[in-house]
Amino acid sequence: MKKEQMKVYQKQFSAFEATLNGASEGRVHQLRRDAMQRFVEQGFPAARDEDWRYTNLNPLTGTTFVPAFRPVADQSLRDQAAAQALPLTHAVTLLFVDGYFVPELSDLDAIPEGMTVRDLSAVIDEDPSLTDSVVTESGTLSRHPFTALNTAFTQQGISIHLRRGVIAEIPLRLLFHSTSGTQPHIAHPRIVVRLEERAECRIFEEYVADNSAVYFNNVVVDVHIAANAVLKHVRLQEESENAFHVSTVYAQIAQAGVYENHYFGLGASLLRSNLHGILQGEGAHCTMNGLFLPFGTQHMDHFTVIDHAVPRCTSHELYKGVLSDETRGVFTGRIIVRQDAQQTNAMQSNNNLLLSDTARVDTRPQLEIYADDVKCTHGATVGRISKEQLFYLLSRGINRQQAQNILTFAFAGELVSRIPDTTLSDLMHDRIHKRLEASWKTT
Amino acid sequence: MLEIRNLHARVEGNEILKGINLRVNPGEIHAIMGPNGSGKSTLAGVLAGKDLYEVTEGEVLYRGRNLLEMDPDVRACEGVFMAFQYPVEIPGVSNTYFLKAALNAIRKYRGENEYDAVDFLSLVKDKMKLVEMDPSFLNRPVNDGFSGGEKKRNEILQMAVLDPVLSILDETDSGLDIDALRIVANGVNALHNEENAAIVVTHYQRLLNYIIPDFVHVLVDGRIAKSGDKELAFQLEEQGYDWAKDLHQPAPEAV
Ligand SMILES: Nc1ncnc2c1ncn2[C@@H]1O[C@H](COP(=O)(O)OP(=O)(O)OP(=O)(O)O)[C@@H](O)[C@H]1O
Ligand SMILES: [Mg+2]
Repeated sequence: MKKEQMKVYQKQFSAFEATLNGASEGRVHQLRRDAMQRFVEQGFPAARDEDWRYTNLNPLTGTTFVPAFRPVADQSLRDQAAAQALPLTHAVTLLFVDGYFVPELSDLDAIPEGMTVRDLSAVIDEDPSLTDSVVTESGTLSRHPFTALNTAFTQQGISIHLRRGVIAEIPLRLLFHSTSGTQPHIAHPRIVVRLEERAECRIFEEYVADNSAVYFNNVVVDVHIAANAVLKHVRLQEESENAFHVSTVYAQIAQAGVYENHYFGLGASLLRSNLHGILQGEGAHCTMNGLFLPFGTQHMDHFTVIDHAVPRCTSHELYKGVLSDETRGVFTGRIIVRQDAQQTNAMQSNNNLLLSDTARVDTRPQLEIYADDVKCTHGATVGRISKEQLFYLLSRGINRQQAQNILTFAFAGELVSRIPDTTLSDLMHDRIHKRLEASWKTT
Repeated sequence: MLEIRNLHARVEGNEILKGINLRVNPGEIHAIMGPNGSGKSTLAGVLAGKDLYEVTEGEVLYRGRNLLEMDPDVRACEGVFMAFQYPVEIPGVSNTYFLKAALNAIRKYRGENEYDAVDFLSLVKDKMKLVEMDPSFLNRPVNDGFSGGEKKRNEILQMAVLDPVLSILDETDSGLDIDALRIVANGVNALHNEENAAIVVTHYQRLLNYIIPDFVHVLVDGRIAKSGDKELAFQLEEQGYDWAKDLHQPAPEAV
């Protein structure tokens, strides 16, 4: 590990501590210190680490980032973010700028009855029993130094809490906007979502940025779903083409609870997405849908884990990649079925479409099955646009670009139509179309 | 309208078309018959612009312009339409979306207004009546899971919507039951007028009872071995292609 890089982070941590004044005595800060120590001990993942073998982190570890400045809450910030974001009008938006939550520019008044949105450190100070939910990296995620780094620098996380039996009709949007600065900056957003029993809601997490801004978003989302609760979580990652994005979502699902994660990846020069679903109560269900469309030289690495810890849970995973130019895609789908987890039903597939000869994708299903009464299917494909289909469209007057886009959508559209909100689904459809069209103009 | 002169074409190094000459004028219907593997689909594919085929000699003029230089989508926009012998299935793309994209691409090329969803739907429903197709086919993915006959009808529906100048129907009658054959033939006849033309590839004289050709050509081993009027089709039906193969006459030019 590059020692100088570690020193930079340690220095930044000391400087950060100095800004905290009295707050550095609190419980939260002890968590930060422990996390920093873990991060220093582990360092960034090495190339020899199996879980990271297809992703070269040098561009990230070799860049010196400065901590992002806290933005001054000004209406223009919201306008800037809105200019980049999906024109979604029926959601309650919480705005984050350069990783900082900006309550003044968020629709706090419109938060539905039964839902509370609060500063995470305040919540932890009040209720120490929550500590566990904030330091999940000490458990399964112990091998994720990025999570430790996030915890160490967590300035102001957000806690979203939904009371027992509350069904929030209106979706909550978490809009992250990154601005361009003079120096590459780093942000560590931290979100904790807790649904009590039988609560239901939809959360739409969206990442946008000023064009060509250089920064590193190191996001951690902790999700806790109590018995019979349902969370539908849609994520759109449309970072700047020069950005680094590492996100870790860690979802624990109790008895008969449901967690759906729908991921759409369009942006970032280097992306690593870690997604962990832990089925902890009988009859729980987890869906992981993902669509990634890198262009140019983007690198997108998706690492997913579904852990069947108890009997009679179901999981359904579908990831699709559309790779053009000189892009690189990675999909790892690990399914763990523990010894107790009888009558598990797990389905996984990963299909990829290569649009150029220089694009590359690596796909690895990893099944670890320790129970015997289990239904587990998986499949992976890598294909190209069919010449016959392309010619059929051309022969009807449709030009090559449009024909390729139509066929790409024929491949990928399924994931867009599964978004559990029709307006959002339509907007996503348009956004992806635009992106496909733009990619033709540059080549 | 179409002038094919001494056309030679290869597939993966094998010469398939060995000097085709054919002239098609506006208002005409030409039938092409010939044994399996003689090059009928190859000829259709070359005219539509399929890049599998390599033209090694000869030329094709379409309305006075070099057809072979045009990209396949440009040919379609210029009014060339081929009904596929084996229509391609496109799962994930609805028939309506596909047809609307095609029609609007062609209209845009011609500098005409693009159709909106409402106008398009009324047009396409109208044309569906012509080929007696149920509107439920509109929402299904293109040809996906269609029966053989349904696929062929869908080709004629596309032809009806796109209103081409030169239609090339490659064995559109194969695999059709008697009723469907009549429906498809009626569709083709209804679309035919003095300004457009059709080349109909078929194995069966039967189709030509419905679509009356002005000329019948027999394609054997990459050449037109004989041309005549519709009586030639009866002769072929009775005597088989061996009879035509034995005619060692130079490839004639249709008048
Ligand atoms: N992709 C290909 N590779 C090699 N040979 C090919 C290919 N496509 C066609 N051919 C050959 O070219 C010849 C002509 O084929 P074509 O499809 O034009 O015949 P056809 O007259 O339409 O026959 P049919 O009546 O059976 O439809 C055949 O011998 C066929 O095997
Ligand atoms: Mg054929």
